[in-house]
Amino acid sequence: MRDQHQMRDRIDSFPTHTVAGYGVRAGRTMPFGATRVSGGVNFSVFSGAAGGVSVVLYAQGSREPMAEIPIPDEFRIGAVWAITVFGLEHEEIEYGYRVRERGDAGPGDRCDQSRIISDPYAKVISGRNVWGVEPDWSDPYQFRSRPAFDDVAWEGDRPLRLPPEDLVIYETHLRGFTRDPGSQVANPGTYAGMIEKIPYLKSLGVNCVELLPVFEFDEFENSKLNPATGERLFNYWGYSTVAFFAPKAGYAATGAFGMQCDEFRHLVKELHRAGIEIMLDVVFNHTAEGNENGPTISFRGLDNDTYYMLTPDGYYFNFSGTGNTFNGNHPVTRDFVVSCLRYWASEYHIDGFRFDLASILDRDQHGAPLANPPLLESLANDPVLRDCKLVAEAWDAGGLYQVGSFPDYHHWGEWNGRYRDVIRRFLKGDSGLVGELATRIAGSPDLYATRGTRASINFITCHDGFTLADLVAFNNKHNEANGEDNNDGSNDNGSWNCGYEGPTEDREIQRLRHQQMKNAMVLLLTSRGIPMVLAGDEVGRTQNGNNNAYCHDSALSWFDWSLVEHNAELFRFTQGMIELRRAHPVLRSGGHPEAFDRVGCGHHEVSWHGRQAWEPDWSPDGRFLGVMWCGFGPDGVGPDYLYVAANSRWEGHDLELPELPSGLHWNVAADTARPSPEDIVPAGQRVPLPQNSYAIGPRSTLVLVGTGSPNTT
Amino acid sequence: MGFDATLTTAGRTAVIALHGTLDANSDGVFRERIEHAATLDLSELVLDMSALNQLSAAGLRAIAYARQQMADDVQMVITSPAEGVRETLRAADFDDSVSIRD
Repeated sequence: MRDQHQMRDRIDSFPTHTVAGYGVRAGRTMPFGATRVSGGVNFSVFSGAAGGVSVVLYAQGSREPMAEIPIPDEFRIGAVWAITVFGLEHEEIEYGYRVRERGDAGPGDRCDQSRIISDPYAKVISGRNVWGVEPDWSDPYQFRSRPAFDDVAWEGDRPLRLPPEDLVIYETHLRGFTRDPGSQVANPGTYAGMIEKIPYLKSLGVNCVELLPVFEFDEFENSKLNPATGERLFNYWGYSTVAFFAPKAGYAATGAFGMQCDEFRHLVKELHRAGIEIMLDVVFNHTAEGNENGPTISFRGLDNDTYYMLTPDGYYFNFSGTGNTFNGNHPVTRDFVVSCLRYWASEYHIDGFRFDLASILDRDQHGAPLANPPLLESLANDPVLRDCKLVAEAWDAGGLYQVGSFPDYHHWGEWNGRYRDVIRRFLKGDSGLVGELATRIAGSPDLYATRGTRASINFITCHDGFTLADLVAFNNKHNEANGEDNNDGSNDNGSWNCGYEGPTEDREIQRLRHQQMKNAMVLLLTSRGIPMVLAGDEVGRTQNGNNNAYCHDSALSWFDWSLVEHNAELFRFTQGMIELRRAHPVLRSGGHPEAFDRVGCGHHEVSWHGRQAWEPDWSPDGRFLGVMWCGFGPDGVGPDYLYVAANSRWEGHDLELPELPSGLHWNVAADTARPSPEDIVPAGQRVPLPQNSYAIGPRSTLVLVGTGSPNTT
Repeated sequence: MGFDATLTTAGRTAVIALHGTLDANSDGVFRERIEHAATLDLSELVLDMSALNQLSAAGLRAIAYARQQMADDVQMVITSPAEGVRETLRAADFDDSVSIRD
């Protein structure tokens, strides 16, 4: 369809003033940032601390400015300075601001007119265009704002709006996912590279990828040398944002040409075509500017007192542990955060966001926790974000821990750290956990009774901490390669090495470790809530015991694609468990289970069992739990029966299974005690058990599915 | 670096040969050729990129514009792009909507 209508020129598309040799006019206050307009570029920036603001223009790639255009005070509306500059070809320029502080600036203001300030609303940042290329450190303006093309050929792409309870989330580092040469993609470590691995994700069965930070950051921040190897350590994870509206150029194969926006949108389109949602890990708790000794990039130089939580004498509160704390509940900062996420949701079709150290967003401007935080309320009720998943890492580095109590406004979900902790401890064999295990498997109704199971993001591993393979191979962390004397990273890992610390040739220990990893997958993928899998856990990726690999851009943290073949058994098992979860909606209901017969089968939706049916062992020494689910089947009719059991003892047990209605029989769908390929049995290959009992192996988990036709007589 | 785009026709096939760098400075010339091609009775539009050195974000949009301007039944083909240009087209999702041939 081609519309022949052409809009006539606007009546305000011509200059009214000449400043620094450029035709200009009073700019449009909204939107903030740099926007293409007819004949030029509109610049709009907020600064409550400024007595004057100039737009500083560079020819792309030039060290020195080509022009500096003071914005006439008459162009200012409130605290927003806006100017339209004509005759600019926006693809060829970089820009920044020079801010002259007001005469009555307070102790919290840190404008510095000797510096060029980057635009907080910049859609493109130049300066780290190719990952790991050493910048010119003598250049005083390191992170250069650039205007962006905002036209997109979406070709019908829309956010997928998958029901949250149907998600299987896959957390991955964008670069690390394909950087290893074994990935065999054309552009390793890039958005384009990830596209080539979409078939792998489809094969595994995940339907949501959650990317570690992809907003522009400086990989050279705090860069140092590996004390053991001398290799360069980077800010690899990226939890230190330079520009919140700009995708990281160094993650793009076309970053050198400034086309990271197009390439990232291509990734979104391809993921959506494959039925996979995309969530972004966003870091609004702090910025890359650090404390008063850190670099002045944007916020500090524009309005420090607004964007950061400050002490009365103008120093930085540090609830993030990184030097500064973003002032999320200040009205201006709140507007920035909301605008930013609206931008990603609408202009990049992002399906959801995971908020790092989200409890900081529940603090007021002085750091005190709020009962009704405006920012969280705004995000939860925002019309643009209505269909986006919002997930909180509901704690911070300042002592707030809000798992189960994060202000949710019927929208927010949480990373369920309580789930992680009990699963880990149960798997390693700790006692006294059966009661809490049952609560977590049921979707944590003690924490999320008013929100349903979709509020619980269940995970056992994530980027913080051990990989699954290391969780079963190490008792202690081994972060020496981080250069911090192994003082970094958590000491409380809930891990167990199965009898030997680290790599071993002992076949029995190797077998047990693989079995433990499968046990983890069974529990994770049969629990109510939203499961999240750490990339590489499905093939046993190891970081050699490093539980805080934030600085390693190397094989230590990259996805090792040789493991797909080497640990094909584990991949197949995980794939099979994801398929099983998909096939049985009773495992992923959005509601918590009730003592109620939903489908008229004679059984409650959930029932708990011990070695004897109907007799769960809640004792302090208990290490066995059986659960029977009874709900609607995939056709919405039902009934569908599943029995899941977990035994963390060194001994096996003979189990009495709960009796099914006449005509139905239990079938083994998964048994981690069995060797592959009998450990996971696809539907259609399962064999009915001849009797109502089963022998569960030591340290194993079991999934049975009820099949057959009920006798109606 | 300069740019030129020449349009030739043979039957119901038009060829636009691109020379130099297609970017924001030069996309106007290219768009003029496209708009002229859109007035012809064509079954195929070939963009000969054998002499195209570089393609920018503006250039990508000019190609998208070309696809939009041509009738739906006109096949659009890009021929002989340099490796860097080919990678840019692939990264920006043009290898599905437009055929690329050596």
